[in-house]
Amino acid sequence: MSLWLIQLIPTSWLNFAALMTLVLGAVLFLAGKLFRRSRLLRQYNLPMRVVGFVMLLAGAYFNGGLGVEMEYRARIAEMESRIAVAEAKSERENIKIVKEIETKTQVIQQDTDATLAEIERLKQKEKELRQQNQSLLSETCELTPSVIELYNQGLSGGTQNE
Amino acid sequence: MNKVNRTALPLLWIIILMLAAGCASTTVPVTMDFPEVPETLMQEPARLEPLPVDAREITDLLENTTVNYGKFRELRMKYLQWQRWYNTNRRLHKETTE
Repeated sequence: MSLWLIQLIPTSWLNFAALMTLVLGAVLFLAGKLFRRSRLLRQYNLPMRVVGFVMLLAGAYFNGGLGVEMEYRARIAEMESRIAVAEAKSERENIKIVKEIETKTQVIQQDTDATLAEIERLKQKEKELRQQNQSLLSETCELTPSVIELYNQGLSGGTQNE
Repeated sequence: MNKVNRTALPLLWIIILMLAAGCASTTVPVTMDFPEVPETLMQEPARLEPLPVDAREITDLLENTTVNYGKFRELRMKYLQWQRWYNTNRRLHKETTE
């Protein structure tokens, strides 16, 4: 037996239905007892008592179960509000992450461009020096300090703030 | 007496069924959706640039390395942001469901 359908019914309706089942059950049961004494209505006494008894049981069960249902609903509402808060926080964090990525990507691009510009300047200088039969770079292809510096600058972007 | 039994037996079953309904699971049917990841973190990572075949100078190598290091730094930064996203959402999920 599934109870999820009960969740669709408003709380006030449930309260009313549970109370009415209990009251109607009690009335039917007592009426059945009274009808036993009347010759005219005696034939109805057994069905009324049986139905009244069942309704009394059902009413008692529903009244008890309603407390559980209300607690259940409160837990659902609490969970929904907690999820809404968490989703809002997650959304805010996503915005921060996107902004940080945009900013840092720009910084990295600027660093890379700056290093490439320095390499370009080195190339120009080297071209000028070669015309005078001189060179900034080692003729035996050894790494010179300026090359190592530019290499490391490309690695760190000239900043170490990541 | 038989007539009473015929009436009482189905009623007894109804009562048992109703009482059994009280044992139904009370697990809250509210679940947290999987959090959304920023689109920037879902983009395909850039590939490293190979050295052009006509590269002869050491400055060509430097240029290529600089560009590739830039891509590495961008990937590293995004990787760190992935970790940040995961840790934040894991904490939020824990706080919400506990």
